[in-house]
Amino acid sequence: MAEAARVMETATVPKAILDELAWRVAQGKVDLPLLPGVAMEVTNVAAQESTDSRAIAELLRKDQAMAAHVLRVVSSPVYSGRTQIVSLQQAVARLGVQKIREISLAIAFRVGVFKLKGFEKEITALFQHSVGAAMFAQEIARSTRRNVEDAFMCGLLHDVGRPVILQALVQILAEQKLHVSPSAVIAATSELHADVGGTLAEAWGLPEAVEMSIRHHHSLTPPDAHVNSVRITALADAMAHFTFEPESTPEAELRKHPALAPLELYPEMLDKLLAKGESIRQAAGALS
Amino acid sequence: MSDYDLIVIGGGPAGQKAAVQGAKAGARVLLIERAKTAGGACVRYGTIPSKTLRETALSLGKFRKLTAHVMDVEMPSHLQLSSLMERKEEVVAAHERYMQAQLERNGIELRQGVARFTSPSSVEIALLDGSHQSYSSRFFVIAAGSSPRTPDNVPVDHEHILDSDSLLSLSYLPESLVVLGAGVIACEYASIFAALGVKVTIVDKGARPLAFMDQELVEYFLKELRGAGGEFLGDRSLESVAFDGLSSVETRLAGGQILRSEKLFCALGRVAPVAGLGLDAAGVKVTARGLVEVDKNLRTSVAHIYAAGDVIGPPALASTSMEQGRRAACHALGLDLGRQGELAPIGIYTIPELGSVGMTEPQVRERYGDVLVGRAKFEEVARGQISAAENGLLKLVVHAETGVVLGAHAAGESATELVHLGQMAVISGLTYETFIDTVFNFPTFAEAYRVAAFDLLKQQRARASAKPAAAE
Repeated sequence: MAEAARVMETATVPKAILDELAWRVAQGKVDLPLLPGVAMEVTNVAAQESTDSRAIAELLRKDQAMAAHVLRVVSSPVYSGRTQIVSLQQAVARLGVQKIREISLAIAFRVGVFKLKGFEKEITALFQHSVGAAMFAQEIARSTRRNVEDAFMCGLLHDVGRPVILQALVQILAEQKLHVSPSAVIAATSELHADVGGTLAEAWGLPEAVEMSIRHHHSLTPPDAHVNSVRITALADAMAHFTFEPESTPEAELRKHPALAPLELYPEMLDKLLAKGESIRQAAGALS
Repeated sequence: MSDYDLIVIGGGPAGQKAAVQGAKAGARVLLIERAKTAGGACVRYGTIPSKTLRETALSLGKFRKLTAHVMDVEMPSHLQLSSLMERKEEVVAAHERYMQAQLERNGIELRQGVARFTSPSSVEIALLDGSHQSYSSRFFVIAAGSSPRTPDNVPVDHEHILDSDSLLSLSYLPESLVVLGAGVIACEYASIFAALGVKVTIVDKGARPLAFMDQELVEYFLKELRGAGGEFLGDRSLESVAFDGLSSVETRLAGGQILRSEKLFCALGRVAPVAGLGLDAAGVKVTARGLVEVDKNLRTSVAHIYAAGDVIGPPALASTSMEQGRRAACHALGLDLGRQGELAPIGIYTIPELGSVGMTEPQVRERYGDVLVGRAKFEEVARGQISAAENGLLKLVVHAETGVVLGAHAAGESATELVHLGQMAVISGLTYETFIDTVFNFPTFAEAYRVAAFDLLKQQRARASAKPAAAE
């Protein structure tokens, strides 16, 4: 039988594929690659000694994959000693920009780039959304006098499970020569991203607030210790959706978001935050 | 008929006490608070959280001393502030529960929202869901608190450059911290962070910190600060502050000096939130400094509207704010004000703490031409030695001829508690001999009063014996 004839098409992701995904996640056999453009930029920027140090720091802040990898590396006992490093800002301040430059370069060479034929648009939108959510999260934190660095990290990484699942599913499907409709792959990614992302964050040793924000940003039912981080992340997520794809999150719905009241965000404060939408959209858009 | 007898705007120490006093007098009281629970900045950002963190910082240092370093507590170099603050959440929650119960017990209605006057007799409340409610009242107490002042050349971003509302949101201890300002809030936080191992630099335009306090006491604070690696830079003029975009905040001072720190804390005073209160609609006057103008009975320019707490300006301490709130409600409802407010103590929770009540040495000299000051160093007090708290001083200020106690000032462990004994002496018109004739528990810090009293006795005897000689 010809090779092509063994390719099967299904409308949903088969359970066997999801089981394989779950196994790979549990075994740590999934990847979080970089966007090709980002990998190239990191290589260029980090390799040049003469580069303005701020360019490195800025690069890390604007890419969830780089941020997650760097945070994972610097959280290891080799770099952080006995206390976990909880933000990129803290990492730069503690380790120095030269060390961060070396780590970034090593990551860019090691982790590879996304190979997601047919999902290029989705993956770009995912990364754009994560930066938008991070920027909204830090503005919410500023307004409510909560930790801005934590909020940024939680916003940036809240959907880190999505690109990982997408990459893994595409890989598994290709290995098993199955064709599943793109919408089914996206649906499966949406369904699983909070749990998978949370599991990865725990395995990678990311800060607990980040892990909780990943796990609970849709359910809003975290343990008490991180409830406000999760609320900020959930609201930032909704605001980023509203900003980048208004049809997905109508303004009236956003104004009834369940995190608003517990965060004591009054309508005029929400107005001020939403007014930053255009500049955030432009900043995040410039990355793609 | 009005909806309420008393509407209180703001649920901080002043507002809460005004509401409770009003309710205890049988008034129908509505308390309007922006946050879900009463307490204000005192509970959320100020008094309660900072003092809780202070206790943690103190305990770490004290454990080393008390165990004579046999059991040392090593501070991890990158200690996370959030772990030190875990107790804060419990303390704040407990305090909020207590206040909520107190409001309920007294039948006070609490409405969450932002209030503004729409007329001299009515307010409109903007609720979280965007809707509005209006209520009228016979009397009002404005107790809207204050928020940190941000000068134009200090770009507070609550991330690298913080104010007192955001400082405790830090999740890790910075390696270094520049503190702008040398008032109560600045010095309290400087003490705490220095005790936790942060390299603290206080910068101020004044020559000395806490200028309104007895400078002999302030020296104890400076000694402790320097001992913890901190420094005070006085007589400095600030030019600019900026985050370098990478890892540190640059503070430029006049004369070209540049300070670099991981974080910066701006504590250059507080401002009253008068802009959003609709005071024009009510006819309430505001001072040139942006504070609500009140008379000695805390009444504003509108007879049935009172103001109390930070919104009327210094001293803006929780203790005085509470008393002001109580007095405002009493005056409004025609109740006896009592004498409580006539002699309010000052408590500053630096490390070591500073306490003060009554007249200072210069004030007594200026009024009576002469003064006697009895001193007791904590190193002379057994409890000071036992508690490893030898860095302290009690000053008993008395009338030079009569020996009547006019003031008590202390630096050191339990100083804010210790001055209450002096406060009672001042209120009761006691002479310092009372402390000689009275038996106190032993060992206690109160023993310092006896030591100071004996110092006074010695001075008076020396004067008495010197007089005949001078006459000859």
